[in-house]
Amino acid sequence: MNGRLVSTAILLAIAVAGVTMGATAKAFAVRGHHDERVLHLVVEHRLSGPEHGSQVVEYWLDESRNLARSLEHGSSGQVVNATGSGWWLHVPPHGPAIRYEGSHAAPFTRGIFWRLYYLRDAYRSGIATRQEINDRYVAYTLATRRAVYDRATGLPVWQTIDGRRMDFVYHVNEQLPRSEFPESFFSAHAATRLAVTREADRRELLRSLAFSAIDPGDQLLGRDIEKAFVTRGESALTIEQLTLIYGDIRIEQALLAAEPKSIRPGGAEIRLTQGTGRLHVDPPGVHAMVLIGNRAINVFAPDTTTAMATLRVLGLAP
Amino acid sequence: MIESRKIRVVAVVFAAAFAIGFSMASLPASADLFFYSYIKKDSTATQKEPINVLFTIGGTLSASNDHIWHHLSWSDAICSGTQYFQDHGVWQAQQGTRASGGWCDAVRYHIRLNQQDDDGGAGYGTFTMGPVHYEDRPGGCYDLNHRVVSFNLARDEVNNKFTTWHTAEWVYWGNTDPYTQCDGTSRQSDGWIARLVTP
Repeated sequence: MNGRLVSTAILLAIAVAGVTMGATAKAFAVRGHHDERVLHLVVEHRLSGPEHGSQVVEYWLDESRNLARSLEHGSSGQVVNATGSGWWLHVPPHGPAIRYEGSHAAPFTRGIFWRLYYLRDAYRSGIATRQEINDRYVAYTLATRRAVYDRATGLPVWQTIDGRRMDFVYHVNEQLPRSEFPESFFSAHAATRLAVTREADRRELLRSLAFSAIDPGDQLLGRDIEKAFVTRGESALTIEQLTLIYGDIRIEQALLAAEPKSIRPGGAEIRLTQGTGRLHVDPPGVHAMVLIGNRAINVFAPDTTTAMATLRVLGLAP
Repeated sequence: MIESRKIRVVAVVFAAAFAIGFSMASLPASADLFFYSYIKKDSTATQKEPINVLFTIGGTLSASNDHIWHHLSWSDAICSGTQYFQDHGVWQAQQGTRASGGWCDAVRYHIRLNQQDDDGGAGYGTFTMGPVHYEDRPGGCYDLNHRVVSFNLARDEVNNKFTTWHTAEWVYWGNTDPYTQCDGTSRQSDGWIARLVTP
């Protein structure tokens, strides 16, 4: 009898150990070699202090491919965010989805990962410090931010930013086979109408436009071009917008759906070679607005002289 | 010889006068400050949110708040830093703020409000203006703060909910000056204002 009890106890212990090891392996798999797995979390972000409250967010994270998707419920409805190498997609409760496209290394593609891993990544990039708290927890600190991570799961337990604390409560934490997710799951496409803002080389964007835009070139009045982007589909009133940033001079050109019947009041009339224009003072700079039918050219400059010089470069002022 | 010199002097004077006159004619007359079309964190800030909604003709702050609550169910925004409007050349702090989220809802519509008067110029009467935007809260530089997803979506949401009950007009202000957020995204308005008549 005693021998049988001992054998049963041993078997039971082995069974329990097996289950524990399986669970532990799963937990370590979160940080371990999981190239073919997707981390699925349901996290309650609990904010304490004067601005207290909580927000539940569901995450699917495929870090080896830099793909992420999140789902949360805002006061106006369900919201989906997704990020990948060079893009961010936001699907709101109403209206078109928004996709933002930039370079491969753009920081906005880490927006979802960084709701959980910002300080971990800051440490890996050498700008945050790490402190071993005990066998279970490790802390990362960067300026006024501090986060405590669970070593076993690799996930944050709580963080403080400027004295405000957020706790992370995990209602679901599992690794799922990547094969369970179709290619479309982490896609940058949306089933709804899609508005796209795309950053790219100036010349490439100019070639893609539905209208003929005026191109100042790589330099404008001694300023190098810093950024160029095109937006389409975000508004029924504006078909396409091209924006060129040359430091303190910004030029936006747009194809409007219709010629405006009513415009911004005030300002002073500008003498132009084509269209009509008004100059407004918007401290600390000025805004020159030119309308040629349903085409708009808006120049933002530090002063009137620079704005007029820009219009002359564009061939719009004498 | 003296005659030709005189002619040359006259020619030079005439050319100079022409050049001065031409350059003056190319410059606009002094621009009067009327409506500043953005709000800012302070008078020196470069990042600015474009005004895109006007509640006009009897559009006091109080009336505007009532309409916003009635048509959108947006209440007072708790998580809302103070920004500044310019009213007739004077910077003043926002007078109100409304958001779709009750507390610091991660994803929300948000508007800051300021009441002004058009001095009879633009036909707006007493009006309340604001830069409505739709925002979320990604991680990294936006922890506990919001990132603008779209100005246009939020403006269209307001317009769509109001126009069942109120007259509306689209006015092109061209305030499309972009700003680049800390995550590298650049956002801007498309320059159109939803002018709503509130009575």
